[in-house]
Amino acid sequence: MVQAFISGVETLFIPAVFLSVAGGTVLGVVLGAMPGVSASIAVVLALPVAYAMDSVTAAAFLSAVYCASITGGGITAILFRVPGTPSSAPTTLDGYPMARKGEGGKALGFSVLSSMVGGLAASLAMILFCPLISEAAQMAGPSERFALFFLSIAVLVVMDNHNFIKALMSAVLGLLIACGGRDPVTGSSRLLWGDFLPDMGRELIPIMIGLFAVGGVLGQTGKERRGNRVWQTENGGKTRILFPSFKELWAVRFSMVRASVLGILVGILPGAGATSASFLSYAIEKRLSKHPERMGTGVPEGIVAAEAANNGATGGSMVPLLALGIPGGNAVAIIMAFLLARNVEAGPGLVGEHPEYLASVFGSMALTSVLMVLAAAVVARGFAKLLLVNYNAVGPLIVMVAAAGAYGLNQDMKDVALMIGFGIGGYFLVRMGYSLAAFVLGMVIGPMWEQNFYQAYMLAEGNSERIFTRPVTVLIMAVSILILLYPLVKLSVEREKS
Amino acid sequence: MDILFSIVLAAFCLWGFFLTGKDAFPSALGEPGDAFWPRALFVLLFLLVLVNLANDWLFQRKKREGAGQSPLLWRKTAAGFALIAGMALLMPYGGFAFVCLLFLTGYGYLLGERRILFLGVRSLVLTVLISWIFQGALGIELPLGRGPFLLISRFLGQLWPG
Repeated sequence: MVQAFISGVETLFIPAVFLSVAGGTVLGVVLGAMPGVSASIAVVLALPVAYAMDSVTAAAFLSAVYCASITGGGITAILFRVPGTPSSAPTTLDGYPMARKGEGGKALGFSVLSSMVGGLAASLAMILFCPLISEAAQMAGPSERFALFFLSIAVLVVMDNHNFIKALMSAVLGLLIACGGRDPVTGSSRLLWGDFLPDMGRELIPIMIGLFAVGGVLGQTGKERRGNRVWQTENGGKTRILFPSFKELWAVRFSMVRASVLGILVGILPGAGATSASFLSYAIEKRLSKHPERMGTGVPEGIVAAEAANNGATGGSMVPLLALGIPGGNAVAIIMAFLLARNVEAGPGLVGEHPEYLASVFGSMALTSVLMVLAAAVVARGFAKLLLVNYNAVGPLIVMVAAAGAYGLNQDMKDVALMIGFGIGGYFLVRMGYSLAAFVLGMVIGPMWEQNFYQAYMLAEGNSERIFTRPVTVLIMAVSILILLYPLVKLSVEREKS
Repeated sequence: MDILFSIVLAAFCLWGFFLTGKDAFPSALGEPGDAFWPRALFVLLFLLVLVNLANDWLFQRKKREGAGQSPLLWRKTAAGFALIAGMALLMPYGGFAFVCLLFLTGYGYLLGERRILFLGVRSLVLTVLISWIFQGALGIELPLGRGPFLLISRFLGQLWPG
């Protein structure tokens, strides 16, 4: 762990990495501030820039864009009550009232400082937990790893509380799409789309670009807009960040620590991500507050709870990715797809055999946490102008950058067709209430899950009873099944009550 | 639409189950064979589709599709599909720069920008910017098109430094 920490710090002294992280931070803050551009879309738009980098630098760059976009979303949430990213929605509850009271600068100060604390805590948690978890995972056999993948699907499906069955269907559909291509053992082409998608590792990138960029723009196209909205704050959005005094920070110390820890824990759960973390943290803060009636009227605790948690979740979501090969959220799944396209398989082996990835991601997240304070302070004055950019310019631009990014991967129009096909398909899935996060998780972990099943089956010489009777496997499977049963039990209890 | 999708999905599962078995390598002793995993998934998905359909019928859940979206907005989305699909179909012939200009103008209009001159100029500036970022700064080759579009793309390509 100490070695990884030192390597991470050393990584920052490599000029290419430092510049990439700094550039990624600015890009992330600006993209995150634009309404309609989520953290996932920000990472997708940054992919073409990452093509030109080596894999380690690209991992650091994309992590920087991801973390900074979450913070960028918080700034516009405070100044204009427009959350740039969904995870910043709870920030508006107290941030905007503070801005209305003429304390916008101070609200921004609380926001970026708590983002920094959440981000730094998350990167430390990452460097602490990743080696431990990956070591434990390496000791586990394929049947235990198979059970872990099952657990990740179970957690995600239950976290997605819109429709449990549809979330499960989305995950299985994602797993089926991932089946297309080569069989991981025999290498034979399977299913009709096997010839169209011969290498899922490579083809995941245009698919992800389509799902998030094209699907996202189509989703916004069907929303009602009222022309060019005029964004109003007391001074037209030109706000200087005022950093809170030590005394003011000391007053919110418990909120900050609580939100950071909660963010990290929620981030570690697959699919939960920064949005769930910030909403949950805000709700807990309100419950624990001595004056809950003041929450939502413009108190710093509300901003701190949301911003420390969503930044904590960014680092938390990197833990299962690097240690187990299970992405903790959509943006992280895109980073994983990028690494797969470069033949870098995230998982237990990565931390042991290629510690440079953990070091660079840790270094990047720690540096981003500090740099985004500076970036936000410098850029805050221009945010009003940034928001004057209308979505009728941003939306089409996202699609064209996405198309160029998909084409640029292999100089192949097939990738653009894939991007559009999955973009339109993803739009309909979301419209019908299916879970995009579960679909993406299924697609990303599918090949590894199957490979582990195959290995477990071979080791058990075809005796499936031996696969599922190993103690750790039984434990993980039992927990997963209990998690999957939870919504059904909850539903029946609610029905009985009503 | 949800029920229709479920029925299509169920049919897809049945078709996929038998198709995979037909083409797959047979399983040897102690190994599952390459049809096992997809077939297991098809069966699982089929069962889930049935549960979903039963869920919808038994509990008469309110459907999400269509709710809250007026026919006008739906037509707008459909036009968005058409523009995006058209962009992909035209790109190999028209080249990136020309198609990008058309798409930015068309989609910008669809999203409510009615100042045509402003829209045209903005689209042109953005097209030059994207082309420069990809072809000039990032060195990523974009589709050049055919015929006269190829000549235009080549001419533009000479303008990028490096």
